[in-house]
Amino acid sequence: MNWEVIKPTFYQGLEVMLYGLLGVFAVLILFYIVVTLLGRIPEKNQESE
Amino acid sequence: MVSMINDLISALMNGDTATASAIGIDFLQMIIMFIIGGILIYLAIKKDYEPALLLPIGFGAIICNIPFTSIVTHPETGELGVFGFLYETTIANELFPVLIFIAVGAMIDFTPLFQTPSMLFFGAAAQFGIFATMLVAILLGFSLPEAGAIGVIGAADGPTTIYVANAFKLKELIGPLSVAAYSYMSLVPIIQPPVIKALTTKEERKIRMEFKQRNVSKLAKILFPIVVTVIAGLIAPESVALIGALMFGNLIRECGVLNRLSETASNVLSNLVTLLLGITIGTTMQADAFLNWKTLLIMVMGLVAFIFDTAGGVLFAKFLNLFRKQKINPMVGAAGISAFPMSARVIQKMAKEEDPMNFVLMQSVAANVAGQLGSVVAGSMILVLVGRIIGL
Repeated sequence: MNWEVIKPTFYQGLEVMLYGLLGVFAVLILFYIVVTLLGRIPEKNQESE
Repeated sequence: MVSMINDLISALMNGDTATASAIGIDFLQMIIMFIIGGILIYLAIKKDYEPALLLPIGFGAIICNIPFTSIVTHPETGELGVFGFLYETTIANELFPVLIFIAVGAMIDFTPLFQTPSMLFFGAAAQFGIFATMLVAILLGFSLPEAGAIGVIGAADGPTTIYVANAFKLKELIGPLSVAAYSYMSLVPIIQPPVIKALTTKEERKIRMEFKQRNVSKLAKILFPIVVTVIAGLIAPESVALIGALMFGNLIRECGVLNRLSETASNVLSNLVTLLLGITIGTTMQADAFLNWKTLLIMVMGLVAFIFDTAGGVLFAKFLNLFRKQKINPMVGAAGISAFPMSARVIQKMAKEEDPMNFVLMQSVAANVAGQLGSVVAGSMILVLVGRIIGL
């Protein structure tokens, strides 16, 4: 394993890791908001009651 | 086979040791691939490890290594054989992974997620393993796309693994990646418990969590797949094929007017695609492409990915507990992987072992469902970010 050879790819990997994790969390936070909002929609039979 | 033996005998008789040793190595590689195929079939039948995939893959590994067979490509003309054609028309163009996602979507019930939405964060945290494994793979000398595809094994999600590897044009790695992804998925009950126990105390594993059962409206369940697809698509258009297929399957399940299509997707379509996907992937495991150090490292990396994923989920739950009054059982974090419902069952079993009256199944199922979403999103992120760096 030659660090000098691997270094550029490793830094690219770090960049992918950072933005990837941020991206996954950002998307799932949006999904959380969606799920929370949609979860507030009352059931039809409850509405009629 | 007969001509192989004839060539070997004539080479030996003529004293041509170079040809004789080359034939001997080919013969040895063939035997090794037969043994590997046999082991996969054994694991499928005897140990019940993902039999729907490992058995066809094992059989495919055997038939593609029979000398002079033309099932993948004709040895002389180079024309595509039956399985070569199947590969080019169903996997190389990403058709089968996408079809599998429609089937998976038709099987998923997102209701537990509506009941405990906060579990969605574990679906994100447990994807840590994908990225951490990618870095380890880079340190071992793999290129960025190869490392990205290897990391996706940690998603515990076979179709995503195949999809990403295929998008990066890593045909020679699809065999080992698929075998690693599906083998470790079936080994979740063996891999996860020791990692969880190493990272949690007995008291933490005994933590009880409150669960409020509430009904979810049909409209919410119908809107969910549509809204999720639009959001994911706007953020990462590359993810639409995967998320869109998954959510389309879920929409036909939840809409209530397409029961026949939903049943077809979750049964017939799933079975048919799985059958052909397995054997087609198996036939990519030709000895010259499979028997190398990369395959061995990929198998090790697959295990590393699952360990990192489990650790990521557990440690994130412990981190959240630093700020919460109502503590989360950190084991639930480990269920944020895509291996559904196996991981949720493992967590519930472990919770019960510590405290027979502790029920964390619903939270674990919610985290597990979130893991299915998270794994597709993480796979898409790898696709987008690595794809942009390598100019795909």
